[in-house]
Amino acid sequence: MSLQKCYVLLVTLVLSNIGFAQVGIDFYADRTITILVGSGAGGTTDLTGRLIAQHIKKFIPGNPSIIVQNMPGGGSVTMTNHIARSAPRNGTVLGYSLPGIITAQLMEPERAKYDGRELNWIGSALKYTGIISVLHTAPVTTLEGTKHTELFIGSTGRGSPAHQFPAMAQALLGLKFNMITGYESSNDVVLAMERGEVHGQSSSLQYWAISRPDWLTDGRIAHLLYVGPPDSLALPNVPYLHDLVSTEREKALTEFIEIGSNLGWPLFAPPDVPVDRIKDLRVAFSALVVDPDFLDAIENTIRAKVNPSIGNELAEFVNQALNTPDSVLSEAKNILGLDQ
Amino acid sequence: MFEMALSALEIVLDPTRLMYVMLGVVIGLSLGVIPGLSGIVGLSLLLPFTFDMDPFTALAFLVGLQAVVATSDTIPAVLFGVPGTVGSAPTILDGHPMAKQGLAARAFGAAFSASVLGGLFGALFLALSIPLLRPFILSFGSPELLAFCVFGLSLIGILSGGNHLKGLAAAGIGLVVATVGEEPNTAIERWTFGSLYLLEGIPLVPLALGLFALPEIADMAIARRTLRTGYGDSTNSGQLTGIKDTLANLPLVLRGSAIGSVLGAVPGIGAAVIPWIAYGHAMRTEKGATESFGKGDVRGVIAAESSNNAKEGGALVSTIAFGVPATAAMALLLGAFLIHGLSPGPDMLTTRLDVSYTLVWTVAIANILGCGICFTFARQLAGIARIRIGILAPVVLSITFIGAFQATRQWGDLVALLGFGLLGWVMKRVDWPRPPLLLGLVLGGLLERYMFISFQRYGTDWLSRPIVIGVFAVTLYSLLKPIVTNFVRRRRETTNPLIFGFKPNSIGPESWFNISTIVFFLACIVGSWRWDLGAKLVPQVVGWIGLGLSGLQLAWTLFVTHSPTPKNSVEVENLKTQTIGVDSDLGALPPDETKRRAVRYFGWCFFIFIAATLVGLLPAMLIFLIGYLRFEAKESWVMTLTVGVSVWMVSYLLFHQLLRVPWPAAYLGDLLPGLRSIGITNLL
Repeated sequence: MSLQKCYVLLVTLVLSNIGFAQVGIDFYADRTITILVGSGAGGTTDLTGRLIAQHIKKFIPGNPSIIVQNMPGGGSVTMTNHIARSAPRNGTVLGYSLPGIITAQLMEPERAKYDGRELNWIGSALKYTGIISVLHTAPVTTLEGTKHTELFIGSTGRGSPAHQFPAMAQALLGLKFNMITGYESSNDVVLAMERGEVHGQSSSLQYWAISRPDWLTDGRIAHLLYVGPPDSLALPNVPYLHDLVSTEREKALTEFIEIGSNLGWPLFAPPDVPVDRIKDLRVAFSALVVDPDFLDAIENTIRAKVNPSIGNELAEFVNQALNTPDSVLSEAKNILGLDQ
Repeated sequence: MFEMALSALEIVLDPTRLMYVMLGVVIGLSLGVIPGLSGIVGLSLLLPFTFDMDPFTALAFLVGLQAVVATSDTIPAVLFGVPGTVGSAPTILDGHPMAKQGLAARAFGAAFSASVLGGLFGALFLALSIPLLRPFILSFGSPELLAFCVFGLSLIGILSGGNHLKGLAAAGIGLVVATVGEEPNTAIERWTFGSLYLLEGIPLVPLALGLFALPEIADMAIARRTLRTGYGDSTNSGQLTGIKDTLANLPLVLRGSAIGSVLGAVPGIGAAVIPWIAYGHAMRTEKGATESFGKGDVRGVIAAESSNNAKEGGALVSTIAFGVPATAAMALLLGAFLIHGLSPGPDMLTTRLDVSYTLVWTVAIANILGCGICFTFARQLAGIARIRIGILAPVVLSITFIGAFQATRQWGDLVALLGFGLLGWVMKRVDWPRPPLLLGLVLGGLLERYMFISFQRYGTDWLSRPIVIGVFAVTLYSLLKPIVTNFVRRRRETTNPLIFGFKPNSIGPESWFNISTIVFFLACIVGSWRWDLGAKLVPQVVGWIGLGLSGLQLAWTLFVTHSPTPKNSVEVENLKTQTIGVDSDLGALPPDETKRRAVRYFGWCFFIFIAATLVGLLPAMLIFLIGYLRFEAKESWVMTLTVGVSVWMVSYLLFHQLLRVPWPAAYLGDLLPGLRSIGITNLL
């Protein structure tokens, strides 16, 4: 092939791509959407991201193929930075993150180099209800009891939600938790529970439904307290942190801890993606969260019920959360031991 | 149970499933060969394609893939000293020297046959241990894991070859590097310098590739000599010799496999540590191994490789029985289980025993297939060693760069690769052992984690747990035994006086490197001084010990001389033992020329990095390939373009089109954001 021919071919290829880019309706036909999942492979975030990818494509005009990539690091902050800074802004690359990215923007603006107000929120299918559970063999198995008797609660580290919720509850309600930090993952904490190394951990009911379904039904674990939107699987008589706090200050701190819970696992696009594509994606997401196949898949895989928020709603929530007053932020950091 | 196993075999032998296992094996082998890519990449990429398969087929496909990655990662390790995955790093120590002696085929024969035997052992272990799993795994608490890590650290002595001071100091460097990142107990950021990349700690892949791959390629490029000058063994007979080696060392294979599968089953030890433990064990127990290991002893290859494949069967054990993945790849496989509606846990041992046995058979069949394929192509593979170095070096180098970049897909990966590459090359030149550094890094994180959990939870009571005592006793025994025997021998023979006095002519590159390690440990002590106790404990302890060891080593080099003729056997032996991973690649090249070529080589390495930040990594790779081939290796334009463009096209198709790597932001992309919105040019 002569150089000239090569050149012509290259120009044609580039032009044909640009040509597609300008035709809104069929934009996604013959294209591939990449969903970057902000966690390692395996686990709830990765699994649900893959299920969304698998089921949403039939609702996007043009039926694009969708692939999932893992980009772990910094509790999804690395991935969100990538989406905000260097991902193409044409709607072919989307992000799917852990619930903590807005909290991260509030607490660590120097690392989270994105602004939640500028991201294009498509929707979240699931919310996160945090629940502190202990084995029935623990010295006490009620919230009242933990005000007097020490319990070992395992977690991965101070930065994780599984640490932050018990730590906040401890400060607000005067509980005697002895937090054992440094486990590799919640699975390792469960193993530590089985060996008698710790008594319990903060996770979610779905987590137990996946990893130890028998424990939920045979009474092997007792639930002390929960936070976040009431869970569809929630058992009766488990105390709700909201009901136990009274002052404005305590309420504000509880709401701060719940930001991630209410955000859930969001799917979002970079800033500046053409409006009609965002609209298409949001419409597709609305169809996804009522699609029986998808609901079944979520139910069968992670034993959860879908509890969705679509685009605008999510964007509004994010704006609100980002207006958390500095006084609340600094007190929360203080309680969680993140103020160095 | 027996009928269950038979009916599971029937399920696996279904032609369609067998075809998928075959496909999985081929993909797994290809991933193992490319440095930086491992089973994890393949599993995450292929998982969506299994959604529509039945669970048996899907799992057979994925497990088949994962089971053989550890077979083919030997190939680059032996040929170039480049670890295909981090698990094959110990294979380099003896496999690569064998290749240099023209024994690549024999190394392959031994490695592949040890791999298949290890894999089969792992499958057998999986099958037999299914009923006994739970009590075994539950007996390993954090204190027991801590004890195992300490045992692992005790191998450092043996991996340092002749010089324990240097080995321990190098391990200290690794331990300090392991502390980089957020400390979970205090949430203090240690040595992150505000970077998000360092917050997660330095990833293993770029470090291992930097430490081993870059220096090996450097020396090939500097010596400008083809890998094997002589062509001693014809490939077929070489391979046969290798197989015979494995068969002759069957007890070693069994021990390596046992170490691999048992430790593989314990969550929290990790794939990177296991082959080192097997290698260290072989070195300690095999006759004459302390002298010959690290110089091309086939037993080193056999020990590492058998444990490497056996660990996959072991790792499946804890994934199946507890839903606790023992390695990263197993975490992904766990996801696959859930998507296909299987809940790992007690069910897998009762109602879904058919699935568990399907996995056993898949591991066995995949290992046999993988080994067969490797044997078939070993001849062609060994032939690679005859390619001109001017062509081979840039190709391997550019693939190493892109492979290292797959660790986290951030610029930091390339910085880490370059930094540790330079460090590794210097260490190689001044005769400091590199394996202890890698082991220090791998064990450092685990050690700190389990130490804190043990103390937080149990105070000092954990020291009285029986397994802990047992493991510590073994550790102590294996540490003290060589010292005592040495001492007794010294006493029996006439001691050989050491002469003390300053030796001005001993100041050279080695002492300068030694001084910089002293500075490094000082910086570690000063830098961690103000942290909370939880965060500074390990850096301080390691810092002070490292400082002492480096200081002692420097004093030894500068002030101590052995009397001219060593008289007793110990010292004769000490003179014979050479540091592992060092050999005189560069032959009689004058030092000035070596220095000039080294500067050029690392200049090219930095060129890739700078060019990548300007125009993107893939385009930079093309520029580098053409530039190096034409202007460094002085190949003809035809050769340059043929090799450069075809290697680049393959990489483009593999990484950009197939793996859809999200490339980091380069300067050109910031300038012309439009290019990022076009699929084929979204490289910047």
